[in-house]
Amino acid sequence: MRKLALYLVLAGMISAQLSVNGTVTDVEGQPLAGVQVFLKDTYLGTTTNLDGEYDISLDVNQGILVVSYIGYETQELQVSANTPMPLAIQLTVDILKGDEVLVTGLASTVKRRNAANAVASVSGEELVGAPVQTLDAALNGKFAGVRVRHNSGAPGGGISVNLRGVSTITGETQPLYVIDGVIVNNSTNQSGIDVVSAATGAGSARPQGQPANRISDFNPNDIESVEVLKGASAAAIYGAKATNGVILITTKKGQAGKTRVNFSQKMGTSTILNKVGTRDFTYDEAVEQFGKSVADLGSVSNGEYTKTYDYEDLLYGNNGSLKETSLSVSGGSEKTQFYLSTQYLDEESIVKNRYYERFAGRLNLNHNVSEKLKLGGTAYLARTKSDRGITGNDNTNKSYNFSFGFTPNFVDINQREDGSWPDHPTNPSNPLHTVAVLTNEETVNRATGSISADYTVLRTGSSSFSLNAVFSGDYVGQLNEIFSPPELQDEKGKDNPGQSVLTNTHSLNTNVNLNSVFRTTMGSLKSTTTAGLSYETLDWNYSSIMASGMVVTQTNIDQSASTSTLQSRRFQQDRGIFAQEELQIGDAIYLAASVRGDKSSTLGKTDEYNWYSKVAGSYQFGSLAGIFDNLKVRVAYGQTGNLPPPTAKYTSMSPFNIGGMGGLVSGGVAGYEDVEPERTTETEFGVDFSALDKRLGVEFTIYNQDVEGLLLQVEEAPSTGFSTKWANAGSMKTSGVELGVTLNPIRSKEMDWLSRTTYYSSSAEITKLDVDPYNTGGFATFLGAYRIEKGWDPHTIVGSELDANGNHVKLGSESPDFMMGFNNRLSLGNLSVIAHVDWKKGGQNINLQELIADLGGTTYDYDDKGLDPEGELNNGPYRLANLGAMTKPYVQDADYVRLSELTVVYSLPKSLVGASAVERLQVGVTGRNLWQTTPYNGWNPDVSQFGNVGVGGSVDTGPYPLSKSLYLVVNVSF
Amino acid sequence: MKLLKYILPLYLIALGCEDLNFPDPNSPSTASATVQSLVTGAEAGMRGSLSNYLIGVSSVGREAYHFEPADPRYTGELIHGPLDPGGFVVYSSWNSRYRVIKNCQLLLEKSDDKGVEGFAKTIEAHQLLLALNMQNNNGVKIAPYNGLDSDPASKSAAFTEIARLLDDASSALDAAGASFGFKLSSGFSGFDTPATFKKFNRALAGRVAVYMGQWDKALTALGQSFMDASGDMDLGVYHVFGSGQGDASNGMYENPNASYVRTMAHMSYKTDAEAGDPRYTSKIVERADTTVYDGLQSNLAVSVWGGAYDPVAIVRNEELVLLKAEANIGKGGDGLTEINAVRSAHGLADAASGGLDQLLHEKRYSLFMEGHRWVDMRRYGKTGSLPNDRSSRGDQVFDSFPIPEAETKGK
Repeated sequence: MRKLALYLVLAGMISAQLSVNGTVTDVEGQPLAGVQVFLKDTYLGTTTNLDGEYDISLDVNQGILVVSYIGYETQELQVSANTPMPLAIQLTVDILKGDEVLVTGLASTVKRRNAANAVASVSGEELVGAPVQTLDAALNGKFAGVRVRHNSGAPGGGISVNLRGVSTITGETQPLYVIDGVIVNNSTNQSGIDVVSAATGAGSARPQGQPANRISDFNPNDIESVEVLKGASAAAIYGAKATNGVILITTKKGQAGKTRVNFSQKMGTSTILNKVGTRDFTYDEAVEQFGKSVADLGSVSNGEYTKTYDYEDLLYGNNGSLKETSLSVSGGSEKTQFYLSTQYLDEESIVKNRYYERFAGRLNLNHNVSEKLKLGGTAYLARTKSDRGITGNDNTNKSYNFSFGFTPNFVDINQREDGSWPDHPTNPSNPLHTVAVLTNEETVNRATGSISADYTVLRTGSSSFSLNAVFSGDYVGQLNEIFSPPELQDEKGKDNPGQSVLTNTHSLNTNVNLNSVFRTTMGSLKSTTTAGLSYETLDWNYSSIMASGMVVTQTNIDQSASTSTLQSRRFQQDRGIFAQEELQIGDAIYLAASVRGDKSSTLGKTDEYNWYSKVAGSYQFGSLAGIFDNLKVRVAYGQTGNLPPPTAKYTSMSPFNIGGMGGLVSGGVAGYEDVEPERTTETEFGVDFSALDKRLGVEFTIYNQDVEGLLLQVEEAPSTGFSTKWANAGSMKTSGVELGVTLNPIRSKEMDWLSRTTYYSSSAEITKLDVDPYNTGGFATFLGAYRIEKGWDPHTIVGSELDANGNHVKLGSESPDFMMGFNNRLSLGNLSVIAHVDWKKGGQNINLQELIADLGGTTYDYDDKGLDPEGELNNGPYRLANLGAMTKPYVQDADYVRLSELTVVYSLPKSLVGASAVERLQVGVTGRNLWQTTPYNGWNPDVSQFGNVGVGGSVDTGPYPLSKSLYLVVNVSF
Repeated sequence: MKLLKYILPLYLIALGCEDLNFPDPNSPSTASATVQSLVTGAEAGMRGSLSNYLIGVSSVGREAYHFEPADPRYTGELIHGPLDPGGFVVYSSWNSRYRVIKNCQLLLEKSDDKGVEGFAKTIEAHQLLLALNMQNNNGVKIAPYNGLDSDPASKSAAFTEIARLLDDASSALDAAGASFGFKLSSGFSGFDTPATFKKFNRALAGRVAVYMGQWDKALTALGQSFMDASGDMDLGVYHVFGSGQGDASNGMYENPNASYVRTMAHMSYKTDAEAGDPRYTSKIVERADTTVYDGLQSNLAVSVWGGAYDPVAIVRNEELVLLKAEANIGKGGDGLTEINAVRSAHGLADAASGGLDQLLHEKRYSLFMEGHRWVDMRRYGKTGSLPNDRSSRGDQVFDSFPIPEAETKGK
């Protein structure tokens, strides 16, 4: 499935006729189709056919033939009239990826060995080796410097992807996703569950619904490769939206020749990864905690309860069945190639009735109208459905986790034999009843498509000029239906029992990109000049209707006593212009420079361009001192921006009505009419080398980012009528180290062991703050908050504790000390084993689920000792007694080591498959998150209650637990 | 040349067509707000964080506990402390009050109309008074409202300012003609002309004068208000609620028979009640089960309000009659006439004697959960006699809420 690229170096100058032909194969003798065979530094050449054969006639009598194929090492061969024909060429797998072609510009590419940045990339095969629900989850652990965080373990995602640490406090934190050259919508749209849990109000600026990022709509199986531009120096060409990095995704394309069919069936099951446990009561303890009337609800003998229930298991112990069927068909002729795929994913969850389902289809079509004009089209349609239940923060004690914290294990709240549900004696709602009847369904219809045209205006032996245009549209229609039936315990007590929330989100992004590329070769100097423009629009329309007082059995919002509504619109218009120059001098030197100008409707000054520039270079020493096969040093400097939220420039009134009359009050937020983008300037330096006959590859990078004009929602003295105001009011420095080591200790026909280890760490510091230091995030300082103060890491956790001078004491940090990934692939003949382990070292969470359980008197360690330095109080009472004075007991280490992926696949030998049309038949077992060790007693050490926030996510109010899953996989290719 | 030839026309097409600068698609700006929308907004906004205010002052004043399993602050911070200047217990009501005051300021900027002035200054004074009730000895911020550039005014300066605003408003209302140029909600029914609105203004002025210990001024103001010792005790001005679009519900209401009730009266409200006092029996539902939470307990559900859209009093006749009693006591009398007028309205026998302690008892039962108990006890230095049920844990009764952290940054 890999594409080919090809180069050839022209060495001879004497005009003659040279005929070159032969076959290109891999080391096992299998022919490779589509390999490009070119004369070096020219556009003269061809590609191999399905049998790996090539045949070219050249107007030279000798020269250098360059043969390359993505995923294989490029070969250069001296050819002349004396070379015996046919010429057999054997390509070897490019383990260290030096010949990989990277997309560095909007319309240009560079080989990895020359690249001036550490650009991480993986193939689709590596990405989805084990089945994965969503595309963003698949990125986990594959790249140094890329942190993939499960905000929630709920079915359908809710994943935050963070490249090279934080670059903003209040702004957009997610990278820009570009699929086949088109920016796609990765927004999060709130479901409205916050209204039912009363965690926050409708339309809150700090929602807690932990929605899925819409990148999750895409089918990960369609991915050919993913490249990650981690920092500003690599992503500068994307300008004002690239501060969080860029994730470039290339989807699979058809190849001329035989029609290929891939069919895959996966079946599995999921269970909870980590249980937190609960308190065991004696009768006396129960009386003390809940009073005698509750204590007497359980069966007691000799002061002990004789019958207890594992409510954690009853809530989260469902064995969800997992099913995925995927099919792809690709092929085509020399003129037209296609890739067609479909996927059906149906995954149950560890909580009953919760699920995620996706039905998706893609068509990628390429057509060569002529040598000069190539057209392409992509279309992707998906429908996803999920029910994510109700978890996390909650002010009604309705969520599973809050209720669990208030449920002692000796009371019986199970459904009665007559089908009725008992009222919960110590909590306003019965969580088992909630699991059974409260629904939180999300349906997303996604339609994404693009049309592209490439026109080669001129092409000579040494130069070419081409134009490229891409037009695209990306539509998301999201429907959220939440129903909290009137028979639920907490609803029954209300005047208007029962709630139904209907939320509609319609979002349309359009992109137009126009690029021109001029390539020329002068002797050993190769130049690529790119210039173009982009035009992007967003039209987002969100409306939510919240009904209460539901007419019995009815879910429609009109079958209610009362409704309230909310609508929010967002229009955004962005324009960009850019130019880039890349120079390749000989094989050793690569230089690049670019400049981009961006305008946006979200900024204060909409008629001025903001400029972002980049300069980068690399030098290859080649083989050195008999130690290195190749040694490269690289340095890059670049700038990117982060646009403010569209609302930041407006000072607006809020509606507040009374008695049927429309009123307005101050919206509470003072806008900043001159708001500017945040600007990141990054310098990156790196050394890459390979040694020991390419059995060892090392990539080492250090970087430093200065973020200026930090956009802060600064606290305003509320007596002005505003509680916050927007301001570009600070600067921040982020620096870090990334190391990637690839080892291939065993390399033989029978056995191949490939090990990749990644390490990264990053740290941040506020270097300038134009306002007084303040606490942000969390719920209140005494429940743990994050401190924004000059000289401090903005991830620093503070609480009630003050030092002798009245200053906040640092209680921890949500930022890990470092993260490591260990990826090992072992091939033993037809058997291959892949294991991936993630290690997060350091970093703390504010574990408020433990506080919830303390308040409910059910914490697993409530009666243990150890926390109180006086040795008097048990742990639960100790934490509670100090609440308001000490936050530290709830600030807890969230390190973990996790076996993220383990896959064992056996490819049936040809002899077993027989002479049928089946080309490959694989069976295997694969698992995700099969094992974890952590000192953190929570359902998800990765938790972010506030979604994709840059700072202040690590607040644990009982997220949907992470699950482990195990699948049986069958792959068939024809 | 080629670049220009191909790119330039496309560039012009793509970049020339739409204006990037457009107004907020979601909300109007302050410039486009009308007098009516600001008046209605002010009235609606007075209900913002109202339940937060009432729960706060009632908890500190030990009228009730708020057993919120999802948030420990109602039984931690309010009963035990420390009060967190950065937490919502402290800032929610404060923020809402000043958002309303912002509306009042905008009204005064936008209109020279005397009716608008009378309304805006009266409401501003009321909102400042609520803030001062909470922050008490720490003072509040008064005009000009320029944020961190000014320190909070002292308690006495704030009282002077509130009284001045009410008096200015009263004069403006006298010159405002027969009717307002704007409409008020049904909460002001009977008080919606300049002349009748002034009765509301004077009722507040009476309350403020009593709080300031200016007994004669209080009696004068109460005389000009709608106080009527033989009239309907519930006559007054109210926050009204509704289920309409953008409206609010009464956040204090809970069904007293629900499986779990959060706001529960302090048990002393039962033990201190006179036998058969209808003010107790109508405001409390005694539940069979006792709620135990965070070391506190009660089985007394609050039933002051009968439904989710029941109005909440801003000021009503019963309070005014008792304020008159208080002013008379302040002048050396016993206030018994007014006390007995109130008791009689509830079908209770006359009290044997008047005086301060009897008055405080009547206020406690007449105005339960309306935000008076703590303020009244404090004004007479009696917060020390309010109960501390978890004294072993070091619970305390606060006299003042701190100034919200956001008002004092860097000071």
